[in-house]
Amino acid sequence: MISEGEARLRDIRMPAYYRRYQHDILASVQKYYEHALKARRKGIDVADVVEPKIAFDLADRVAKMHNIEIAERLRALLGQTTKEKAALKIAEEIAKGEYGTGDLRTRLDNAVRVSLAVVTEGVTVAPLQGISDVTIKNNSDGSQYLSVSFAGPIRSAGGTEAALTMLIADHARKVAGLDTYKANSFDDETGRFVEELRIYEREVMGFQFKVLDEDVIKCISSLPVELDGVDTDPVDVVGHKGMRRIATDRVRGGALRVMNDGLIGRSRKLLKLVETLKLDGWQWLKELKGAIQTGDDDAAHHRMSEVITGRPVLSMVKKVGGFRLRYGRSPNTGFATVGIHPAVPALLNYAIVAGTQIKMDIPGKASTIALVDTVEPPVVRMDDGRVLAVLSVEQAEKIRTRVQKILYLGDMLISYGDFLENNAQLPPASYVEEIWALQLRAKLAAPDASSMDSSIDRDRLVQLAEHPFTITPTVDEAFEISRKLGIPLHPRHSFYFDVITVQELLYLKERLAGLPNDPELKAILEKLGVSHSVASNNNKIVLDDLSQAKSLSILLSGPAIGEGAKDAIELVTKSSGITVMPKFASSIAVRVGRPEKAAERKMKPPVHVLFPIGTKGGATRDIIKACGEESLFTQIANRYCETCRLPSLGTHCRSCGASTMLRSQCPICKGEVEEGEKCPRCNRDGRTYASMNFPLRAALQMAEKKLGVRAQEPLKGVKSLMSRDKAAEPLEKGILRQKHELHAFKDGTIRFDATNEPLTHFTPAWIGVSVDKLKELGYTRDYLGRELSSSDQLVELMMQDVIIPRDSAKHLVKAAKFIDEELEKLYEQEPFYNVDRIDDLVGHLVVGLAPHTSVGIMGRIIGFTDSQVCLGSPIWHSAKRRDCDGDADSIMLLMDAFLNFSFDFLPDKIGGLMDAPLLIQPTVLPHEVQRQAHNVDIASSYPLEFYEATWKQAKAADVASMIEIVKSRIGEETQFFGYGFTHPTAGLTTREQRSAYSTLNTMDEKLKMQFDTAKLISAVDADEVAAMVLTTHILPDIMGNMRSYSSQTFRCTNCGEKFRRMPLVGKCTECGNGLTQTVTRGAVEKYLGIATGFCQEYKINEYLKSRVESISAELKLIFQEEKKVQSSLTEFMA
Amino acid sequence: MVLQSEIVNALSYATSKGYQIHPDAFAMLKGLETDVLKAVQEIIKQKKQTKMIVVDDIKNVVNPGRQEELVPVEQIAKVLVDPTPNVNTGEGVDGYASLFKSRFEKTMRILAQRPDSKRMTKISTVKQMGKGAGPRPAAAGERSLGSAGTYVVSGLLMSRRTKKNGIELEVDDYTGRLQVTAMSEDAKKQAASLALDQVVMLELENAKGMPGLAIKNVFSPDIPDHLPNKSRSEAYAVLISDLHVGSKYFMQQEFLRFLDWLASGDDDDVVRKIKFLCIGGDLIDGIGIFPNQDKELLMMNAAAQMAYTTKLLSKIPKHIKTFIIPGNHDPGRRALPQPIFPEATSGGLYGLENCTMLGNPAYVELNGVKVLMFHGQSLDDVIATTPGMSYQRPAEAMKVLLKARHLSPTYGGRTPVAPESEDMMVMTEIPDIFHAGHVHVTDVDSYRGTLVVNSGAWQAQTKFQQTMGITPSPGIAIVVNLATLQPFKQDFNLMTT
Repeated sequence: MISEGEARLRDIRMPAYYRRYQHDILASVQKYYEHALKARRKGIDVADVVEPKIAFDLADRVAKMHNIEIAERLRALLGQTTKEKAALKIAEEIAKGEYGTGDLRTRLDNAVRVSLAVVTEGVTVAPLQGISDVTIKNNSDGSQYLSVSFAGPIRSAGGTEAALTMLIADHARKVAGLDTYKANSFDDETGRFVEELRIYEREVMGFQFKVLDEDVIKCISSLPVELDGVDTDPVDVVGHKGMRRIATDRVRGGALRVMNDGLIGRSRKLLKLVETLKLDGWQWLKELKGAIQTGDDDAAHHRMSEVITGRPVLSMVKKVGGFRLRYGRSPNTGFATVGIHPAVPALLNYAIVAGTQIKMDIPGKASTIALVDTVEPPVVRMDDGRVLAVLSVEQAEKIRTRVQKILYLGDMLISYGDFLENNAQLPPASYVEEIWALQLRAKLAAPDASSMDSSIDRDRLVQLAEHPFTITPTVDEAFEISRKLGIPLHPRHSFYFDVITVQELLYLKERLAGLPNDPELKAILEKLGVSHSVASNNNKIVLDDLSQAKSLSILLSGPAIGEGAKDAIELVTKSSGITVMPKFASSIAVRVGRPEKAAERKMKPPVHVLFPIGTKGGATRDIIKACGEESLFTQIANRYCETCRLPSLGTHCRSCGASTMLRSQCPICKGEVEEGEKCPRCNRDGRTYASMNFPLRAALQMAEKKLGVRAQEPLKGVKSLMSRDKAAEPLEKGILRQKHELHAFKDGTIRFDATNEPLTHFTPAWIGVSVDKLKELGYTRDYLGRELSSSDQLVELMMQDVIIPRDSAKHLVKAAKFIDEELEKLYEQEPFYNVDRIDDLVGHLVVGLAPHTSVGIMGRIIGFTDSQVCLGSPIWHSAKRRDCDGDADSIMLLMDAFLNFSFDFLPDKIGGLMDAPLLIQPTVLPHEVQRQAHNVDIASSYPLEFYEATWKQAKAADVASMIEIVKSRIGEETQFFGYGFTHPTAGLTTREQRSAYSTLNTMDEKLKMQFDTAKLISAVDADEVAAMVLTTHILPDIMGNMRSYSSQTFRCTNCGEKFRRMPLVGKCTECGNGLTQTVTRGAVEKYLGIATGFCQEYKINEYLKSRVESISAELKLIFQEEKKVQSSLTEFMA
Repeated sequence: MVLQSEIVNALSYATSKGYQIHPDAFAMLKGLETDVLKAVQEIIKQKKQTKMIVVDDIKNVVNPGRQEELVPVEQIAKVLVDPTPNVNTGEGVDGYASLFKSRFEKTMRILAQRPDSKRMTKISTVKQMGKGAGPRPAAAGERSLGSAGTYVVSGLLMSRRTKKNGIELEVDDYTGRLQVTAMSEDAKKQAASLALDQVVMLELENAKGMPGLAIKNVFSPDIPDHLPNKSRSEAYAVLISDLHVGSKYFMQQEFLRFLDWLASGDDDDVVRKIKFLCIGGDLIDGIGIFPNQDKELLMMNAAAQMAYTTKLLSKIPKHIKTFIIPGNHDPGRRALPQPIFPEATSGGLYGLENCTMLGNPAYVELNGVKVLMFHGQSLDDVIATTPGMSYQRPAEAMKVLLKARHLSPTYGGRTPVAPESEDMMVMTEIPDIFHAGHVHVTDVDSYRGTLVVNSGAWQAQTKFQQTMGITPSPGIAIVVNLATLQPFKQDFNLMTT
């Protein structure tokens, strides 16, 4: 394994220490693998091998996933050209039959799947399960064409890749000599798509883009390959049923997604690909109106107005005092993670913390929050009228209870890479320290710089230009520099003149001398961001910051020339002769999305062991309860030991050690059926499982004896197994998991989920690990190349190293102990981990796995964080096919994946392969991860031209040459190291690690927190928040539940059987127990009080008010005023 | 009503001549107001081909183009059924248990009139017989009237699934659940047209070549073929629905033309004889009925919309008796059955003395003609789940309801059904006119003697309908001559008149 891995790495340029790093990881994987293999060889499990396959690179993954011998060829192609071109080429070759015979349909099927696998990096299950079928069908004129049918999991591919599948399929079609698909050959297929799309959007869910009917018609009628799909949801179309070429009358979510979010939504991206790949017959994409441009504003607006109860709105569109956009990247931001000042969470009572997901209007849809302390801090007004900037967390916590309003939230640091990734327009940059420093540097570098007439020391000027975040000019220096060098006034000494009017400026100018405490004047000073307080006699405003006072007086002292100035900035600049720049040029609208997450992954209900006990174990699926009878009738894999005449769970009999075969049986006559054949008598497919009497009690007793551990009630099993063979786990695993307070996921592994956050640099102090330990792990130098000796030195993170939440580390310690005991007592092997404390985990390997994917990425634990996030390099997260916009991925111990995962546990249904470590990838290479990570910017500063470009409304892609991104280093040695950042930070977290939303218990508390937050922030209007919460959450919830109430299903309280309607028997038809309703009166009415309360407390428009009134009137007609007491006849007779 | 003895006489006469009387025809005979024996004798005299007396035979002898007597135009209206007092009687598990029980019992009383119902077996009995020994031919001595080896069960249709070998139905009664399969083409077709949760009677036989029972025949309760009641004098009833006042798409101009026409009585023979107006719900567009409705509204609260509606309806001439039921857009509750408009938000509607508010559904008798008024919410479910149905032919969907003898059979679909202790949606009475709206397409048909009317709308095509591909036919009133039950459409669209 080591040699195979190193062979893959041989030709890749990397520094020596990196090669050693990779070697160490490979050697470790080998060690884990061999240890696990010895245990699996015992035959206790459903397979006597280690099941996850090891894949080293993209080519390997694709080949192993599809069982085609194309790895070599694919590797060669990928070495020469782009992923897309390689995918196209390989599709062509497979279609021509260069990798095996098979009929044309099979070849085309393989071609389409493999090429989709290539473009999705062989990480998602989209190629296996997102494409349900590739077939050759007929047009009405008899010509043959290619049809691709999609299923739900195509979602894991992403819009562009999914749509690209159609382009590649078309290419394969041409190679195979098939004709084009002709829409509406038989019936109204375009109309079907229009109807189906609208029904899907209404009944199932909305798509990422909103597209026009005419685009749908244009798209379907122009496609050269048929876009088809399997039904994904139990919703029928109405008008277009029983169509000749569309097999289902239900909605086809996969096909609709490919069309809506792919072909139409990404039509412009696709058009670019069509050009680079030189594909014919796709020019019609140009004619699509497309959803991107028209929908974007709307989409952002829509996104910002979807406010959920208890999730605060932090900053509204175009409101003074919201988050100010700051361009740049800190070691802990970028890749859809943004930085805010650490004082903000503290001021907001931790409504947000590091790791909280936020939704925003630009540049992308969502981001995760990180803390960066070199950005502009918030400005607040206290209850005594004092206005000040809050510079630290300590200060924020001290004054928090007395803060009346947050006037400015400070900056939100967003990296250029995030704008590039979304190809967004660059909003104008506010004038900030780094721009001023760049302008100063430019002046210093100018040829006439030597003749500069300035009283300021040149060395001082150089210092000021080089260290914008640490050295600030005094007010006198600042004016001197502006006057002499002709650069704008330093932002620290300037004010938010762009948010006040000319009249307000003049009003201030007139009263600057006396500064009487009048509300209007005070409001102007607050808007400008001037620190001040109100004198105790309450008649005067006092400017607390002397340099601010000085600056203000200089700026306003000039003659008020031109009252016709177009704005306050122009007026200030003209009258003072000093250039003043807009300091609040762009703001970001922000609301809280999902709270941060770091939690054990449990199934619902939680499971200790994957063992089926039907309804015998009651609602908790208790195996001990199910042991009430000697044996249990259950559906389980058909393994049997012929010698001992006992059913077996593993490949070898637990009593005699003989190998057990999985037999295939006819479901009717129970006769043996050969694999792949049908029963000769009944003509039925064989089944590898059977309903059998399993000696459960004996098995449990044996397991307890073997382990020397008693199982406690309830030992939770499952109702039934969902896999093809219905293979079960040995009970020992469940008893041990229970002992260690752990639960199994559907694939047999133990998972921990945590929000992803990027990290490119860290200090030993941040991650709680000693310098010595880090040196052992290969960290010998800091990011500037100096010997690592202090825990405050900043070090560049190696790409597969991860910093996990302490909570999750504690959990992994338990998992490691479980595995050791399992190895010792069940497999009779040496223990592997021998860990006691979380520190013992440092250096151990974990598998990172994202939902919708099936490739686990190897990570090495090097430290811990108190926050609820898993920190890793953007390259590592991207290897999992994730950016860090607030999603959580799971981590598991590598030994767990090797020892306890089995393919045979996975559900036998579409999507069943998702979220399981089918493949494990030991190495991560920047050039092979998804493109998102290539857009991460790694420059140490952005150039002046960049900021100038933002003032000219440039788009992100227009300035791509100005800022270094990962992409520019692909293929170079430097793709592995030497990443830069623009804004340093002193730490990663604050005192609180969990946001208020996750710590508060009741909805009322969360709601109160949401409105307290709204009222605290000047950029948020509580009335609007109330209206948005009503519209998007509360009213739909009441109405939805009201509707569900009158169409609800019923559930058996004993066995859990569900009933679409109340059966006439009036009780469970399975077990005779009573039924319970699934939607209660309480669930329907729970938000009614909130809704009516809103209408009284906030300014709510007439329509919404009327909606609330109608709903409360309706509820009175659904539920009786109070329970009528039924008096029985006997009472009267008595 | 005919006396029991007369029927017996007629029956024995027919039997003596070797004739049988079809159950529907038998039911019709009972309802006749003429000499039954004479009628049967007349039929047998005319009858040539078959020995089965059917409904058409009776129609031929009893009603050979009856001459209208010239009587003064009457105006006798009676409310037969209004759900309002019985609404809001149950909740939760108990409510739904009692609702379906009531549905089953009420419908079983209807089914009991069929002769084959006497063979009915409980589901538990059928399952018992099927157990162990496998399927078994009908044993001697069993209560078997029809073909040997079959069972008859009835119950509520719990589920329907399309399988490889046919359509699998699951029905339940008081004793349990039973899965049976429709395998023959005929049975499959019948099975496909059933509505979920309707009462159904199934004739079952042993399935060939596999375990379980196959469906031989499917019987819906259905309405019998009958002679509708008619008015003794030539009086007219106008049927409309779905005004959607308050919506940007409300066709105010056309509706005002309609009101003017109603008031133009003196010049027009028909208009003069209009005695009744039935409005089938959705007077207003309502508030919060669909997402982002505010963008399509002119009036932002329900009370204002109702007040405006009242102003419009006050123009109806006072001599026309008007009956109004709510629809899903109106204030009140949306779950069926709906009580009358809450007075608080009715905008003064209760002040119109010629208008009678009723719940939905309601039966009224107009000059002896029984009119079933139902807004038609469940038509969405019928159209979505029954093969061959479309929004362009709502009368077809209405026939499905008549066959099921239930106005909203399917539970858990788009139509919310309230857990009332009595199922007021069962059609115990046979309507002479079945009036619904909701789908905004005018359609007129007749089914087994009942006039089936969907009365369209007064709202132009909405964006929603556009995306759904529904082309409404608004601006039309349906006028029915109660003496003949002959309907005609009166169009108030500007372009067509």
